[in-house]
Amino acid sequence: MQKDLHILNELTELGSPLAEWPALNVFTVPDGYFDQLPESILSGIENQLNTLSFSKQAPVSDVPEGYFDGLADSILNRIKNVPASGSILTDSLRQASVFNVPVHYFDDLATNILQRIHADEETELPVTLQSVQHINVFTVPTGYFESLPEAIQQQVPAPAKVIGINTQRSFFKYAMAAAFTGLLGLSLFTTFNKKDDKIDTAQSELVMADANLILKNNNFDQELESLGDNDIVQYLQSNGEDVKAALVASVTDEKNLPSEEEYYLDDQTLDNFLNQLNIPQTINN
Amino acid sequence: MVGMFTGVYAQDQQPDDAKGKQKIEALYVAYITKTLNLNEDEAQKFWPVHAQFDSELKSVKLELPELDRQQQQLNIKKKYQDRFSKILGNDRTNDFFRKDGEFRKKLVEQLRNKRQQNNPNQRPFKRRNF
Repeated sequence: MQKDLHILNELTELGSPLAEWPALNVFTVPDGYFDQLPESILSGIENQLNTLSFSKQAPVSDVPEGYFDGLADSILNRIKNVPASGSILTDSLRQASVFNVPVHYFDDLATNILQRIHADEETELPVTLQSVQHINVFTVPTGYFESLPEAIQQQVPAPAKVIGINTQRSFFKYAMAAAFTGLLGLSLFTTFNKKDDKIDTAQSELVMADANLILKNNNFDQELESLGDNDIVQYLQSNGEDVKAALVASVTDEKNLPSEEEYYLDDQTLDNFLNQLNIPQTINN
Repeated sequence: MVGMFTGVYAQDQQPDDAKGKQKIEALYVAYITKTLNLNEDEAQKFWPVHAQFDSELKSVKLELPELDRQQQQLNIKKKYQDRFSKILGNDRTNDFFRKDGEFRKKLVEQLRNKRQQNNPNQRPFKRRNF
């Protein structure tokens, strides 16, 4: 006999002492045992059947003819003739009452019970409660019982939601889809950001090249004078400058206000002066 | 090569507004470089930090109340003061903040002059003698 290698490997993995047992068959049968087994079983069954058929042929006991016809009557007669034994079964069969109560016992029973109840109530109640014993101390708000079923239903916890395995799979499906979309969006965002960065870098390089050219040619003032009105306004605004306020401040700082004589000549001098700067709103404010 | 291509592409695609902005930025770089006398090494360290500084300043919302806006801008300037000082030293950093303001003043002056020149119908005023 050879050990099954798969089972042996499993037993070795589990560290079972069975793995170390020698491959010996401890169960032995005589030679040719299984060859004769079906015949021996069949012969055993036949022997048993023979025994049973023998017992059928010879009844165990005989009863007189018509024995069972009057059996019930004879049993009842015997029971009735047995003297009182105290057995409830036999007495009831002889239609004799085994329970005795005093005469007129049931006539006063109800009264007696009520008297005892009243007596118990009076003696057992504490003194403080005796005065309110006939008062109903339990009150409920109006319409309490009408709304009771609804109130109870509201307090009953909702049955737990059963999530099937398939539902969970569906959830994972959507989660995966969302994650994929997020990654796609992020990569697109990064790509466009990189593109913006590239443009910014290129822009910076152009600015630096222009700056180098200005320094090299030493033409700062000429370049400054060539700037457009809108370009200056947009640049200043993008740098958080209030252009109107800066213009007015520039006028006063640089001593560029019209002289006193100008006001004698024209009382609209200041207005005209500010109009030159395109800041008429400042006057009204 | 890619950078050059991108640069040319960016320049070609620029609208006039962007070109004007680029020109003013170039003037600013030239002005600061010249007035602070930045050498090549300093410029290489200074301008990247300045780009961050500029970006943060521009992120301050213009709709804020004036004093709040100024306060936020001042906080950013103070935050970058140390970083600029490590490159330029304390004195030149103070000078930088001064020159930064001066450049804007120059732009405002330029704007004022342009507007005054562009009103030929009005006679020139006699300037006040302070």
